[in-house]
Amino acid sequence: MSNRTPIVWLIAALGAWTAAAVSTAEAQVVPPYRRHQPLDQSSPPGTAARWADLMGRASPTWMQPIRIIVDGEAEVTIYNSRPLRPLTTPSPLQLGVMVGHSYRLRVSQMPELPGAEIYPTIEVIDRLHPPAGQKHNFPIPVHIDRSDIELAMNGNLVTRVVYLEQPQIAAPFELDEATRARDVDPTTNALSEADRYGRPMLILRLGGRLPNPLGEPPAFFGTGGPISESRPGPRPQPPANPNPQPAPPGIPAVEPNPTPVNPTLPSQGPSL
Amino acid sequence: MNASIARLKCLTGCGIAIVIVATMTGCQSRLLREPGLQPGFTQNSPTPAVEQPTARLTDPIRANSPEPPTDGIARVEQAHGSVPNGLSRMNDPLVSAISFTQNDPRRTVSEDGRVLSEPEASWMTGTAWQQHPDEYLLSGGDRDQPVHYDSFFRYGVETEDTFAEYVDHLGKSHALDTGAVAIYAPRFASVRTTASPSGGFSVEKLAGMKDFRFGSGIKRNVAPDTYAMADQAHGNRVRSRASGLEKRDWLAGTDGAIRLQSRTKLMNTFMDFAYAIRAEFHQRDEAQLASGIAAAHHWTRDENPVVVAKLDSANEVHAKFRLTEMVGTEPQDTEPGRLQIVKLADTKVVQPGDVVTFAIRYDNLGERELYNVRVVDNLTPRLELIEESASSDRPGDLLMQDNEEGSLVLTFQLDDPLPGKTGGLITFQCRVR
Repeated sequence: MSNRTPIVWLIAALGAWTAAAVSTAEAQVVPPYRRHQPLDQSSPPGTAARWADLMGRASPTWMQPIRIIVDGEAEVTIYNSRPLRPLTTPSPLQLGVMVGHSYRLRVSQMPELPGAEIYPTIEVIDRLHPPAGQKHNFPIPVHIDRSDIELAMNGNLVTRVVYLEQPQIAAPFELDEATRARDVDPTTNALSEADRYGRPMLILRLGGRLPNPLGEPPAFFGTGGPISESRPGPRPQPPANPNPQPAPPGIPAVEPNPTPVNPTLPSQGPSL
Repeated sequence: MNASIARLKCLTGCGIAIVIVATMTGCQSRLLREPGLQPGFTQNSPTPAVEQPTARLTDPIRANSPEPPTDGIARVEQAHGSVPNGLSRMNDPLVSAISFTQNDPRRTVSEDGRVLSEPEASWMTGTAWQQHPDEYLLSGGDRDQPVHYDSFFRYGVETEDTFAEYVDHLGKSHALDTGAVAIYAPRFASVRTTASPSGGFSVEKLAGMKDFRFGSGIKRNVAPDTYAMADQAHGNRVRSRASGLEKRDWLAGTDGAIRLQSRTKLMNTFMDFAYAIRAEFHQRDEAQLASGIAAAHHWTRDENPVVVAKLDSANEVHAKFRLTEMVGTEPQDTEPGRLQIVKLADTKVVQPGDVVTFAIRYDNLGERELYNVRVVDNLTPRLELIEESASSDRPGDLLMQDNEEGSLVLTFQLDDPLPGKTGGLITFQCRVR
């Protein structure tokens, strides 16, 4: 090893530190929650939806598509209004619901749990604003996992607050069954926690309650909100030319077949 | 007779009152029948015509349904806020009582249900992504704190930021951000909590628990290695007075010795004979000379100084510089370089897992070259760069750094200066998480 080796290493380390220092990026953190949230998961079902209606989020002309996805095979029934007119389809079920209403579901015909039935509720508290023609391609997903069903059948009350992620503080990986739900303590306000990370869209409650065979009051089957059909439509295809921006006047157009650039890993640093 | 006249006057008065009331009622009924004053419509609405073939009043529930129209003709689908041709139903009191709210702006739909044109943004409400930015995936622009520099570091590079850095022909550095690309890509997560009614209580605090914050036996000694005092404390006195108490603080043990490094001995006036040696004196020496002359009365003749006076006069110099040779370069192009950069995406709507191709187009609108052109793109956490997808039509390098948020900071460094009136294109692909 020559005498110049330590000097070269020193210069290389200095160069790498310089490259990292010049391109310093601002780290984003989840801001602390400083709002007052009067509602929580223990509020009576339908309260948050009624408040959303009073705040003007509900519109009689907008049916928000949702997609109910049950883990495994199952049959989903939704009670849409009074008098009861249940709609039963196999999972997954996509339909339009109205903001400001609560809906009662029935999940049954699960081969892995023969004879089991649960009656979850969905409380719609906000809506999306997709581009024109893309409304039915972006439903709010309502996942009912197997763990939720098992907890509900054991007498627990499972509450899921589905929220729209804020993109700047979203998780930097694809969400799956293990990561799309964040478990919090029962004493923690789930609505506040969802509001901290995004915008709460709906509340799903699963419990062990079964309807009385002698009859239930109409309020058990929801607030009478309507449902509508919702089917995904065609999605726009990206153009073949990724450079739709025309060149300014006097500037020749660029070559349509650019050459790849040489990627440089950050650990390599500048060439010496 | 008088009774008949009085009865006639009473009847006449009642008749006039009835006519007045009937006239007012008729006017009011006409006002109510005026279509422009009906709730939910404007005064400029056309007059309802029953015979006119009317368009159907769009079902508010199915307003955004992608079902193709039955006539097969591309047309503008009317929003619910205005009902131009459905006026035949205006006489229906139910319809008149309903005040529709604005849903989607008008859009052009083809015969197979595809949307041909997007609604234009309103200058009052802004674009859709400006109203609901949490539903869009933004890339480009300069979010929140603007990019700024100090002597060495660069600050304000948040996620989504895309900008270019370059140096003009004068050596001045510039930074220019691109426009923001908004892609509709909402993603959902959930917060789950489980409560058990059988365990209807929770222990929030243990009884009898103490929190010790001070460790035992921890001692911290702070001792300076070197104590340097630059000020001389000799003779320094501090007097503090508080509540009538007097306290004197003396710095003990600090002593500063002043040692002269050099000494200059100034001669007294009578000892300064420099003018005598030089045999000349200046005007400022007159005082000394007068003193010397006064002292000379006691001197002997041999020691009497010879006084010589000299007058200095200023000379005026005139010089003329004649231009013989000038060395320089005359620029052929006069317009300085100016960069324009824009960021584009190949789609407006994506789902998680889709691939988006981004294109960054940059052009030098000026005539002079631009140097050290670099394009920096701090990807948002939901964008994952696809390896070996980056390309450029100009030679350069791509530097990838972790942005500490699960994504990368891409830096495209061009090898050569960017000539005037030319441009380039950088493309890369990202997978939406």
